[in-house]
Amino acid sequence: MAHVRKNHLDMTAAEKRRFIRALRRVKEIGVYDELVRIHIQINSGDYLDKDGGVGKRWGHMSPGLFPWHRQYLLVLEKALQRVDPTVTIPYWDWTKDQSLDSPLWADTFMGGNGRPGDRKVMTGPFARCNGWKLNVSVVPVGDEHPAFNGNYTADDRDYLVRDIGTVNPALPTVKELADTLALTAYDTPPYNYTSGYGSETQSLRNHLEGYAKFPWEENLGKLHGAGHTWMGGHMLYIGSPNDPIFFMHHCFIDKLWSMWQKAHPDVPHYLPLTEHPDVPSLHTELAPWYSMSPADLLDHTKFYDYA
Amino acid sequence: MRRRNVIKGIAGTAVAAVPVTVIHAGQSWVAAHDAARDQAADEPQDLYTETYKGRTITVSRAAGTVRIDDRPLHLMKLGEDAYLSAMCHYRIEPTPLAAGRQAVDELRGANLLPSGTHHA
Repeated sequence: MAHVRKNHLDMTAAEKRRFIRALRRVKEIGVYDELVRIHIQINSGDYLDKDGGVGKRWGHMSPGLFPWHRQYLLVLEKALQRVDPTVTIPYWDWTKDQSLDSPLWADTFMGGNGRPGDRKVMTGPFARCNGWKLNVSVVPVGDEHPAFNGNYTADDRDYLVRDIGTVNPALPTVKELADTLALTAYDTPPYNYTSGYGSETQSLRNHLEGYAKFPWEENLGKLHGAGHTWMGGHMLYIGSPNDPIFFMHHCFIDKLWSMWQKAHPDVPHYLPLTEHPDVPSLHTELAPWYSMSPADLLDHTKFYDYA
Repeated sequence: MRRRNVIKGIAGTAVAAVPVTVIHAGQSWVAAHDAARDQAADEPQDLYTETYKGRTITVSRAAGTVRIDDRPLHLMKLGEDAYLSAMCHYRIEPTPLAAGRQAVDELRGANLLPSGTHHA
């Protein structure tokens, strides 16, 4: 059976219920927290000591952004499907679905904003009072995952925090997205957050990641970045996957890579093609799994379709 | 301090959007410098310490490290005038001190934990 990822607005109540149930189950068995830990680990490695040239930037400020997160979401999705084979990760189209009255934030789905003051999430399945506890300990419970030896958050709060619209009051617009999807270069040297800052061509990756902008645009941190900063709280922190909205946000980013490929069939859909010291090339297997390269991940239809 | 106070003084209004860096593609990160950077640069000693919202921020200019109440902030230097921290990971701050203040804002009284492993 081909798996189909949908806009959450097109899901039935039963589909949403099954998605939430599967998420809570993979959280209970530790798989979810292991994914949070992996994201923190890769993020840290992506940014630390770059002046010293230690390691590659696998998934952030790097052309690896799209394939790395595609594999990352696949790991979660496979875990969800072991709980319930019908479940796929839905996406959130933040260019059109911007209201706090959206069913996205319903108590039966993603839950709402954090409360005033400490910004603790108090509603929905990911509220602390409803059992969604962030792991702040480095000590695993039981012997199921002996590899657990990292941090799952950067601070000692064990509850999810959301602070919608404070750091960044606006989600991206349809035009903002369309302008970026019209770019024909996947990425450009130096393949980091400054790609497109000099005379080189503007690129999909750095514009969609949010660190480059057009002269007519006001702020950096757009598109992918704006999704994180608009949500605030944990979505702003290094432990952003602690908030399940992370996966719906990145599912949309993943869909956008596919849409861009379809719109630009005659350009390379990943760069660089040859070995590079700082970023994965087309044929570099991605950390920490070392099982698939960007080339293996280019075509999403091998894994799922988008409705 | 000045910029943050201004921002927080009108928290809840759209003006809170201002700190999203206003750098244009092709321009230097220096354009993003703010009061925090000037203050740090004026400090002759290596260690700069200030109390911000009741928390003690200590910046080592030489090492480029930040501590909040003597706990290290996980700080990532991207380039000159470009820093991310564990507490503000999707918006670039111009200085370690600015990242430290942002982290205090986000912690809302919580304490930093030691960092985990760094490199994949």
